[in-house]
Formats: sequence, C-alpha cells, structure tokens
Amino acid sequence: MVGSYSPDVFSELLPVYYKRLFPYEPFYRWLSYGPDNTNTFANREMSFTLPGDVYIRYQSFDTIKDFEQEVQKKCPEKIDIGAVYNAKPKHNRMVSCFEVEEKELVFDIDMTDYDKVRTCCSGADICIKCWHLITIATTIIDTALRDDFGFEHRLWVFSGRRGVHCWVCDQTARVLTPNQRAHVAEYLQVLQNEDSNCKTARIPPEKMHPSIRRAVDIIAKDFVEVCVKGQNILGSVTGMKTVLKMLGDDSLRQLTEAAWEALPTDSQTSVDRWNALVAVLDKQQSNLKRWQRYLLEEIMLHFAYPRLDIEVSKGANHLLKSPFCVHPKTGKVCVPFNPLASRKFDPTAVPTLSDLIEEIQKFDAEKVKAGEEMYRKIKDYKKTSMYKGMQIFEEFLRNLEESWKSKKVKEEGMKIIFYLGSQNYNRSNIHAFHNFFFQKWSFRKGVRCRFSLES
Amino acid sequence: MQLYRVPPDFEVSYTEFETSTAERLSILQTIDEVNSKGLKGDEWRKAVIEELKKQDMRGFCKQLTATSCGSAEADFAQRRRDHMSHFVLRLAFCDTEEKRRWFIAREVDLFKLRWMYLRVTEKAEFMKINKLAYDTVSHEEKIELSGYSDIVSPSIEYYKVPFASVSELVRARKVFLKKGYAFITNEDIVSVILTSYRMNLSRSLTFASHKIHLLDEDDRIFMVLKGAGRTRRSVDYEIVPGAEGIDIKNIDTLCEMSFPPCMQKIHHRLRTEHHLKHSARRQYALFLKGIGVAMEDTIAFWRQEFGKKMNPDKFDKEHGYLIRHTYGAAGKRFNYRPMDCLKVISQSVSPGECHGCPFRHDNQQVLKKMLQQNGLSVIGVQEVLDSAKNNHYQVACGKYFQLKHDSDSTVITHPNLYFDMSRDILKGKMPKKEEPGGKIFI
Repeated sequence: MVGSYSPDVFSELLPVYYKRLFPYEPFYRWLSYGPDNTNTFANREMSFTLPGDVYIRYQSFDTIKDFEQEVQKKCPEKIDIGAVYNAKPKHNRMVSCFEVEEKELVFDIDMTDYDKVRTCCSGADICIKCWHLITIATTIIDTALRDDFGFEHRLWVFSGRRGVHCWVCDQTARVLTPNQRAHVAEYLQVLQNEDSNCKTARIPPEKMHPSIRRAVDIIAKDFVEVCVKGQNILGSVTGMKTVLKMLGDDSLRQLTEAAWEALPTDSQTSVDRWNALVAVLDKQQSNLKRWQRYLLEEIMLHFAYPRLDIEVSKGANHLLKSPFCVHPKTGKVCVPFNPLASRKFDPTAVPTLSDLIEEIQKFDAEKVKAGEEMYRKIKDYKKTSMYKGMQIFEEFLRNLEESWKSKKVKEEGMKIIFYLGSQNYNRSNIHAFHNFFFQKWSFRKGVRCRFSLES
Repeated sequence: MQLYRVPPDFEVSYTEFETSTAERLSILQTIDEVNSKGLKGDEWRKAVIEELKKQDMRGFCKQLTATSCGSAEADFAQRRRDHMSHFVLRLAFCDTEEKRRWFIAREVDLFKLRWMYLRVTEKAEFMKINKLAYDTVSHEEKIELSGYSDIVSPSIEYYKVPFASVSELVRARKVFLKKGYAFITNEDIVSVILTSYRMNLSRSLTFASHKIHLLDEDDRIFMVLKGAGRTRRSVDYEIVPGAEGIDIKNIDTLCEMSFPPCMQKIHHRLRTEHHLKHSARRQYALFLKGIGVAMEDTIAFWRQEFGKKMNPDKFDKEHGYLIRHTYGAAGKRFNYRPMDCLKVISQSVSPGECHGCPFRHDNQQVLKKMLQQNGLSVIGVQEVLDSAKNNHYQVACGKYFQLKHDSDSTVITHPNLYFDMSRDILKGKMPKKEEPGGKIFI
C-alpha cells in the first residue's frame, strides 16, 4: 500500500492536503476544550514554518475559519502548537504582562537518542526492529502517566519520521508550572549520564521505586525479543565488551566470559549469551556486592528504558509539532495511535501524502463518478488510510468531551433541584436550601435575588 | 514562625524599620553564602547558625531555638520585627524576575531552617493554625498499598496529597504515587507547605511589582528599599578613583600571577588568536577597566593584537567603540561595572567562544589541563575538579585561589576581587579574610 514518495512533490500536494484532508473541525474541538473555555482557542499560540525555514511565531486565530484560511493561504510546512496565553498571542507586543496560562504537558521521544543501544539503524533512519524500542517506551510512559499521575486524556502521535509525541490534556496537567513539569519529567527520566562502566541506569540498593519496578517488568517481557534478538546486543565483539564492562566487577566478568566460551559452537547467538549471563548472575546472587543488587535490572533499563527529551516537557511555552502535520522529508502524516496497541503500529506503513491523494482520487473515480449520491457527502479523510488515525483522535475527543459533560450535568442538576424546591416550598425546605445555596451559590447574583424574593 | 499571609498592621519607628530590614537582609545573604558551600541537612543548619552567630544575630538565633509561641516581651518584639522585615523585603525584591527568584528561594530556605527547630507537637500546631489539613490514609488503604510497594509501610502515618503540591519529592522518587495522589509521611509534609508558601510569595511579589510605584513618593522608604534589594554583600565592584594604575606592559606577568582563570583564558586567546568574539570582548574589557588599566592603554593593546589580523583602521571603527562604550566614554556614557561571578557564570557560551567561567563552561579535560599548567598538584587539581563537577563553580575558583596563593580558604564572588586579593597577598599584605558580617548597603 505504501507508494513511493519523493520530497519533490511535497509543495505540490500540501495545498491539496490542507484543502481536503486536514481535520480542522476535530482539531478545533480539541484545542477549544469545551464551551466553558471561550478564549482557549483564540489565545493559543500557533507557529508556522514556511518553505525556506521561515519561522513565524505568535500567530493566533479567533475562529477555526480564520485558522483554516490562513493555513490554506500560507501552506506551512510545519505547524507548531504553543501555550495558551492570557491574551491573544498575535497582540503579544501590546499587552503589558503577557503570560502563559495553560499548556498541555508534552513528551517527546526520538529514535536518534537510542543510537547507542541500537544496531540496526542510526540517525534519522528507522526500521520496524528499532521501532519496538519506541513501543516499549510508549507503554512505560503511558502506564506511568495513567497509574501514577492519574492522567486520563493522553494523545499519542507519531511525529512523522522517527519518534512519538504525547499530549497530556487533563485540566490538572495543563495548569502545571514549569517547575512541576520539570519534576514530572525528571521522575520519568530514569537514565542518567554514563558512569565509569558506561551504564546509564543506577538503582539505589535500598529500595526500588514501584514505578521503576513496573518499568523493569514491562521491559522484561520483551527484552529478549526486542533487544537481545532484535538489536543483537550480544552478537558482536563490541556488544559483548560493552555488557562485560557494565558488570563493573572483574570476577563477574571472568565468570561470564568463561560461560560464553563454554557455549557450544553452534549456539553462539546473542540469545544464548544472554541466557548464560542471566544464569551466571543467578548463581552469584549471594556473592554480589550491595551496589550490584539490581545489576540485571540496570542492564535491561540501560538498553530499553525510554529516552525522553525532557527540555520539551519542562517549558510551558515550548512549541511542539501539531498532530496531522506532514513531515516534508518522509511525506508521512503525524497520525495519532493507540498506546495500548502500539505494538501493532507500524511507522513504515503510515500513509504518505502521495498515498492519501491517490486514495481520494481512486475513491472518487470509482464511487462518486458511478453516481452514487450518498458517497458525495463522505468526508475526504474517510476515503483514505488516515481514517484509522482519525478514529483514534475522535475517541480521544469523545473522552475529553465526556469529562466536560459530566461537569455540566452536575451544575444542571443543581439548578433543577432549586427549581423544584421553589415550586413547592415549605419552611423546612427553605431552610435546607438556604444552607445549601449559601455555601455554594451565594455569589451567583440571580440565585440570591430570587431566593430573597421567595423567602 | 508564620507563612506571612497577613501584612503587618502596626506603627513602627523609622530606625526599627531600617534596622530590622537590614537584619533580615543580612540573614538571607548569609544563607545564600552558606548555600554556595553545598552542604545538606544538619550540616547546612549548623553552618548557617554558626555564620549568623558570627554576625551577631543572637536575637534571631534565640528566637529559633526558643519555643515558637513564647510570649515574653522580647520574643514578641522579635516576632514583630520578623513579620515587618519580611514584608519590607518583599517590596525591595519585587522589581525584577531575578531578584524575585532569589528572594523566594532564600525565604524558603529560612523557613526550612526554622522548621528544623520545631518539635513534632509544634509542627502539628503550626499546621493547625495555618489550616493545612490534609487527608490521612486509613489503615485498610495502607495495607492495600503496601501490597504494591515496600515504600509504603502500614505502621507509619501517611497523608494523601495531589502530586503537584509535592512535585519535588516526586522528582526524587521519594514518594509513592497513585492516580495523581502522592502518599507522604509526616516528615515530608514540609515540602507541601513550602510549595504553597512559594507560590503564595511568587504571586504576591508579582502583584507588588505592579504596585511598587505607589511608594515613590516617600523618599525615606524608597531609599531603604533601593538599598535593600541586593542579593549579595560587596558584590558590586566599585572602581576607586585614583587607585594605582596598572602598566599595560606588565599585563602578561600579571595575567599569569593574578588573573582569575576566566580572564586568563580570554587573555591567552587574545594573544594567540589575535581576535575575540563579542561576549569575550565585553567581559574582558570590563575586567581590565576594573583592575585599573587606562582606556587608552586598553585600546592600544587591543589594536596591537587585533591589528595582526585586521586593518587597524577597521579596528578603530568596529571595536574601538566597544571599549570606549565600556569605559563610559561613548554612547550612553554609563559607567558599567565589571561583571561579577554570577553574571559570568550565567552567560551562555557557544562552541568557539572563550568567555564565561572555565569551571562551569569548560569540560573536565580542558579544565584539568589549565589547572596543571598553573602548577597545581595532582591532589589540588582533583579537589578543584570535584567542586566544579558538583556545580560549585565559585567554590572551585576559591580552592584554586587558595592553592595558588597558599592563603586561607575563600569563595570567589567577583573576578576583580580575585585580582585584588591576589595583588594584596603578592605584595605581602596580609591575606584578606572575609569581612566580618553586618556590612549592608543601606
């Protein structure tokens, strides 16, 4: 299904994409965060990257129509989403104190940060083998955000080339201070600088924090498949040397080396060596020093724990590429994906710009031309392989909207009670309502007036 | 001890106003100085108290160690001073972001210090008075949680708070998290209090910064505020007119003997590359001005060096102005002060640039080489490297100074002070010890 894409056609196809495929309406529903937040969309900073690396910051749009028109007019190569400010960002010079009011908590995981622990590709390249590392990362971060921090509205998006972004959209996440964001990010950033043994993970021997234990469990499930086999970490001399060095102890090194030597010649694969290493550590359990207590866990974390670009998460005014942008080099659309099924997500199969346009044309040629009237009204993205990503986005939006509704229902309920109460009131009723409303509603003008009239 | 939620509402004499402000400022500055030594916990507390006692802050120390709600007359007066001086300093430190951050951080430190002196019952009482009630965790819940992790133990009392209010503990992975709530022990509750205190202060300071102009009319108060808003003692390096000049011919010898590493580096670069980038030009020119090199000499010296690579006329056009501007002889004609360490350290340095603080901006190898070239012993080199590695740049510089001059231990706060101290020692004057405290710029 994945056709050939060449960056040359990018500038040609992009206008078509912005005209027919970019999901403006759902996009607006997301960024406006419900009917109560009237200024949220208008006060949001957007920035465009125009061809030739021309960067325009502090754009903002009062309505979705404005946004749509501007996007179609300027045809930006990239759209970034910034923070919601206390005033319209386009007027930022006219406001005396221009400050961030809210911003999603975002995370950025990029494959290039894995270069030291992957052997299949490097730099900007990715393949399905190293993508599994991102899958593990997604699972770990998503679980932590949900179980530890209680965040419900997490949108995971493929970044178009070699990484993923996560947008945490809960109210509590959006109002975190830069300091608090940094603290959350650092909580999730377990790996540190390399120590003298080139190991990046260090678990203090006293006790392992439950979040790390959970991450180790997630990694352990796939470690042999993804790292030992997939990345072949013990398949080369350099790989073996790296792991030996991490053991940090000469006697342990000698034992492991001996165990590897002893392997029969026909079973000298990475997996065999890994199993031998695990056996050695198991046997030596009682001889290990205090700081080696979690050696095996540390090695696994070193090879598979998420590499977060935490600078992106720290700043509340940091910009991040919007979902549904198209990557100019790969032509791939930044589609949302389901973190629970991230295993099934294949970045190499993400539709490119040329695929999508072709799909629309094909659909139109087959169905619409055949005169089937009902197909005419179908939204363009539904005709393409972007549909799946859109479904995930719609589901995310439904959950988000559900949370506003439940808030609203509570308020409506109060009004009804009040109305009923005032219809057939008696003395004790009034008393109860008096107590009730003067606690919660006394500042609402209407209620107070009405109440005093009736009592 | 309090969270300063209500502004003071009493009459006060001008002298009391002034002295109590000076006293609190001195306390905060002392804490800041002790912080640069990089101590933690009880060591930090002891060091602060020791310094405060040295500076004759006995009233304050007494208040610390006494019960928090004593009612003796002197105690009451001390609390009154405390209350008032906090609010005065709020105003003094509200005008720039940098000052606000400093003030908040130091006030939080001060709170921590006091908290350390409270007994358990007093802590509980404090929380009750300030209406800081948090949900405690029931025994059943504790047992359920201890199944998840050995971090939670059923025998200890826990509070359940939103994670955002203890994000510092979250970052250090010191607490157990579940669905957005952190489970914290009695000891960690101070972290929650501090977060709300910090936010409260930050908000009030921002508010104050919008309203501060209302005070402009009262000169007496304004002067106190202006004088009090300084984060460091003696950090501003005043250029003493009529001080002995430096002969430019000796600059290379002086550089080897008495320049701090940051300036040495720039000087060497100038001599070898015959060029300096903008930030280095600025940092170095201000320093030269500070040590007493005349403007004409600086221009001549730079022209000679730069001239090896560029046309001297072009030099005058492009760089002469910068030097004249720095000396206050052109442009805005402002008498710029030499950069202090904080300024030097906080600059950003891109590859290929040579300004900034070597202890912060150079990597360990480069730093090591520099230290060896300056004749430090192996142990000395390691000591300095360790301090730098732990982000105590000024301590590292102080160690370097100490080793090079065989003097008392010191912390360097200003490149020009480094130079002056070095000259004093080399000329045979007594090693300049730190000024005994209490010197405040009001």
